Amino acid sequence: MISEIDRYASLPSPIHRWDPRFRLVSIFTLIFSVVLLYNLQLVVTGMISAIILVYISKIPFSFVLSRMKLVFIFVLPFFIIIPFTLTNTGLEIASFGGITVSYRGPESVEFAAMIVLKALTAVMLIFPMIGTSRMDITIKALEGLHLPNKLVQMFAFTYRYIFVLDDEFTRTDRALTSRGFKKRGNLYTLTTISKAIAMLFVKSYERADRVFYAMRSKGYAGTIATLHEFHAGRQDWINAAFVVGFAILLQVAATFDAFGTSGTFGGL
Amino acid sequence: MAATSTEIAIHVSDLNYTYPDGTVALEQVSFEIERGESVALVGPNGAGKSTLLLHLNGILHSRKSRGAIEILGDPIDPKKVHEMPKKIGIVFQDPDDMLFMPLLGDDVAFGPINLGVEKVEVKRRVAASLERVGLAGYENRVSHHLSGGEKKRAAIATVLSMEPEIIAMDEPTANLDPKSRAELIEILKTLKSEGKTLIIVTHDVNAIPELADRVIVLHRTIVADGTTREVFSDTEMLLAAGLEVPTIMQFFEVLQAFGYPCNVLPLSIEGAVSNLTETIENGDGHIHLHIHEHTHSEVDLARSKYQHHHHAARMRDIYNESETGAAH
Amino acid sequence: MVHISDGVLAEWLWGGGWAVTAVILAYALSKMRNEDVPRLSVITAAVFVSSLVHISVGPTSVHFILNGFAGVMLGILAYPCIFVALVLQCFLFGHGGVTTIGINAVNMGVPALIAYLIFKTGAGRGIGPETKNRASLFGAIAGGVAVVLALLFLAAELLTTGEEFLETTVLVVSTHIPIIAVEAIFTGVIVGFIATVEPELFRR
Repeated sequence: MISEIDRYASLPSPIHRWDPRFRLVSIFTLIFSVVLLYNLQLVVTGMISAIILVYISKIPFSFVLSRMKLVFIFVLPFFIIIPFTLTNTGLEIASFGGITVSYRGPESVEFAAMIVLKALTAVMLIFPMIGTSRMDITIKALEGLHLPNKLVQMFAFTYRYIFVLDDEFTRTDRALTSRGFKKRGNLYTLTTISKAIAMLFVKSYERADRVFYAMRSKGYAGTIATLHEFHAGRQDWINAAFVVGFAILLQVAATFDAFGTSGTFGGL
Repeated sequence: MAATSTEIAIHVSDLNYTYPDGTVALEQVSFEIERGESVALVGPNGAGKSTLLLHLNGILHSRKSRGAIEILGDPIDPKKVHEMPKKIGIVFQDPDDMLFMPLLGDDVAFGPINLGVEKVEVKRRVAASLERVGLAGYENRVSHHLSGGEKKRAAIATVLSMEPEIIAMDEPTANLDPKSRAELIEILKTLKSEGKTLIIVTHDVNAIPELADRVIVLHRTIVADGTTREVFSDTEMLLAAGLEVPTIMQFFEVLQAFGYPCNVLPLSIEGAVSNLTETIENGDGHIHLHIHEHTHSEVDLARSKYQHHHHAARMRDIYNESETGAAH
Repeated sequence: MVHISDGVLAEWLWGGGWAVTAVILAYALSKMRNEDVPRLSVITAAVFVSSLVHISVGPTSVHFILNGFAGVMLGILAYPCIFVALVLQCFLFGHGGVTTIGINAVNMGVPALIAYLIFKTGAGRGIGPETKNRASLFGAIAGGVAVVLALLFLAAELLTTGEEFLETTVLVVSTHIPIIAVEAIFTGVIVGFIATVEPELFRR
């Protein structure tokens, strides 16, 4: 049921070979840099860099696009709604039943486009960032980046038990269906599903106790270490310098542009 | 390794445990297990078997249980539970509880790393433990994608890597297909032959004769404790505890009704083979079975002796008789 | 629940979101005991899995948010759970945004903490099968309030960023009104269920 973002984690690409710690930090920086831009040309440049990174990573674009649907559905209303307003401040284009719809002007279209492009670029960059190594390796990289150990443990265990509980819930769901239960938009459906989920939680607490007992039985005293070691080489640094350098370059360009004359929509 | 001179692996005296909700789980439990012994712990569902196991490495403890348990000669210190796996490892019933790391190799390395074992040695132990359970080269497998039988064996590997002298297992053969079950029994037999002290909680009575020299019956308290044969001979006790005897044993009792001469009922297929061989050799190459007028009622008697619904029906009859008796 | 995507909000808002999240997370992690780690992880996984369940209400499909429920059950420790769930949602599904993980955690997590206070105050300490209805009622209130607050936070952030977002805000908030009811009923039922079956869980 849960499709995995790391489905293409074993492809042979330079991005796959890149030390995950460096990859995470570098692309994370690039995402922040793109989001901080307020110049449509530069945002488009950022998006092109994202497309290039996905291309280098060999992750199929069809997979990336299918995963971007959700973000698209969220940002699409912005694109449609932002250029128009229900107040009388803009150019009136329609009026029905006392409500006036007016057009805010071309600047608002640029602003809307920028929002959509930034959101899509950020999500697209998640694929070369996360989708190029297995999720467990990524979580280990977080530990390598010195995130708090308890938080990293939570990531690791949560990721592990998502699949166990998903199986458990699927079984419950089948048990309901096999006894004639059908999901409808009514109170009965809601309370039934609520109880099924409540049962999932009660069982989860019991499982959590057993997992903790098992961990203690294996000598757990608070921290978790693994044998995995990351070895950063020259190529890892070069890649990082390249991506982070590009992120900085975008910001530099944006700073110069702020003093320039082109009609940016900054400051909104 | 805790190299102690004592020959006693586990010493439990007057262990009591009550759940926070007031349910009494264990009452005056006392037994001793020698080093190298292999013991089956049986009892009906909810008899406290798993609770007992969790006491053996100090995970569950209460004021009442203080000092009640000694492992390899030392009483358990509840503050040093994380050091217990050097001495005793526990294999939980649901392997999904034991395989909590994303990769199997990490799960197997988890114990030895916690015990402060050197990295090179941890790697060696991980590879060796996986190989011993027939999962060589599975270090980078995702636990979630293993089959049920593989998970059970993997859970054992996560304990073997800590190299404990005592291994306690909670229903190692439950929920397995016949092939996986057979593989698991082989692993347990190997551990037994290597001299590990084993405690095996199980409902799988047909596997017990192969795996254990001794059977302890737990039903909140110790109901019976003896050699496998002694315990399986006490039908009344077993039925009262909701248990049964190996199928082979039942079958030879049926054979007796057909006239098969047999003083000591075999417990396992191997026992049956030697028993048959001996009987045939003594009978000049033949065995003689026959049917007479009482044969089938004797067969019924032998069978009903071991069957719970017969037992229940008999109890109901007795109850009904007394009811009707009272009505008259 | 919609999580805010990248590039929508003003920098100071999502930057501030990271700051608030960092402070609350640091505090919650300092309160977290070793035995809490597997428990919180399994609960986070359960929240994650339950939020994948969709029910159709009228023309739209809604799914559980469970931030109020997480708050009721876990108190301050709900915050790291919500944070971890959001990060995994972003990484696994591309849901929400990257730069906005901090502010989204505030939008979900702070209402969760308020839900906890409401529940603690209303339902009291001795929750059990006898006081099931009371617990259920305050569970429902806490669950509903958590969503209302999350929506208010979201609306406030959008409107502070720019007046262009007025219409979008109206749209987002109005489409989420059914979720308030769904979540309130859900949290009420589940709290009542746990009060009957395993009231011990409230005392952890």
